[in-house]
Amino acid sequence: MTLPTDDTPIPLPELAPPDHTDHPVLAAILAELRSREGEFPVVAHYEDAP
Amino acid sequence: MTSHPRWPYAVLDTTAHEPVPFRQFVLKVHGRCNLDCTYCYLYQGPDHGWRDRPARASDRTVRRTADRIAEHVRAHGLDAVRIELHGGEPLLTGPGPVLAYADAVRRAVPAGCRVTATVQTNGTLLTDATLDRLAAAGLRVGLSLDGGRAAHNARRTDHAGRPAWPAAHAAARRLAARPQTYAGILCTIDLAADPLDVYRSLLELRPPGTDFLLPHANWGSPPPGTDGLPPGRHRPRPTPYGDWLAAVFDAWWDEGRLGMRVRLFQEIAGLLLGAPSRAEAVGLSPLAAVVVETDGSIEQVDALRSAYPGASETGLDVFRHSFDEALRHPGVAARQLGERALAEECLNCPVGRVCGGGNYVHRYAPGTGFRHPSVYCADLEKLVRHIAHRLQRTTGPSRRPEQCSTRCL
Repeated sequence: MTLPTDDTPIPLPELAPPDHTDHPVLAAILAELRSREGEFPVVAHYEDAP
Repeated sequence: MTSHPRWPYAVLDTTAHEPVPFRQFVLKVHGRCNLDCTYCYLYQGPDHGWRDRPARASDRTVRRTADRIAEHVRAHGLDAVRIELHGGEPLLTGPGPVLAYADAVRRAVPAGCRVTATVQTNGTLLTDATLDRLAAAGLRVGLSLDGGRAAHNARRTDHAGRPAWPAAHAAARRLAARPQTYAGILCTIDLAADPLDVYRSLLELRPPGTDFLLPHANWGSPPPGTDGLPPGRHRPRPTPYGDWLAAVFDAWWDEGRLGMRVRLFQEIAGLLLGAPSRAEAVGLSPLAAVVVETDGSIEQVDALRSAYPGASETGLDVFRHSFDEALRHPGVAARQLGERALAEECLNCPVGRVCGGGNYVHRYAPGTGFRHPSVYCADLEKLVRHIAHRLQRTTGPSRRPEQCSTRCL
């Protein structure tokens, strides 16, 4: 169940990529994001392809 | 004659934006499939246009498509493109047509343009010999499976009702032994399946990555497990898909290692960390994909066919039109507008920047078109907030507002 209507304007937390993490999944995400740096524009790909 | 909805077809000024070149070409090798999956948006959906198309792309269509891709690469100075060899089932008559298509594109594009070629298959025809040939040609192979057990794949049967799982499972084992060729698994969510069992069973198949796909649905054909409502951001709402995905996310996040990439989760996490998305399911990045049908028709992504008959059509084909002409089509342009394509409810939503309105296909409502929140709006908000919460606990406290580089939503 989602939030009641009165609570739906709650903003998302403002998160910044940490400089370092011991969390293995987050580390992999950060590595992939770094690999996209310099890629402009980042484009979306078709969902029905891996 | 296809009757398109008002937005974007009647009101979008396609000259008012700068198109982004296509970088992903979905090439229909075969227009038929040896399976008859109960939920298939192509063969069980409202659009029966596939019946009128050739069963297989002809040599002429292949050559012309390759030339058009090369023309597009040259025109925009692209250094890399992706081709997705698709169907139907692209391996329906063996690997030959797939290999020929990939070879034609690679030969046609200028030197210096890298072509990443992937076959997306149901796996039932992926023998050792076929895999040898695909791997030798440098093609990657993706599998469509709904989990790693027979029970998860009960909806995937052939036209005689026989289960696809035994052959598909054998294909998954073959691919696991060839990590260089294994592109990953696409898994359509079935609420009847236990999310953790699906996740664990997929891990056992050792794909490098997977993606969990919401079943194609819209405001006129709402998803199974939810009731019908007019388009909007209705709250509070049950979130069966959001809950299902959140359970999988927790298992993935807490695994203690990256067992496999999960595209949807990684893209949402990236968006929450301020990066743009590479997926059409979330975020606001321009879609850079186009489809070429077996008869050479240039089309939008064929998931649109789940909305209404002819929804993916552009009226263009590779024999008479360039891909640059397709970029000016209202349906294509609408997928590259980012925030400007969103519904008012999404623009005012604190989650809108991340979910990006969800998959465009899921925003459709009969008569009014695609400028609506996703029919999975509540599920997406549930998942995004869940991931944000887990990410916040992992990365530490939120930044203070004065440290924000982007506007606080």
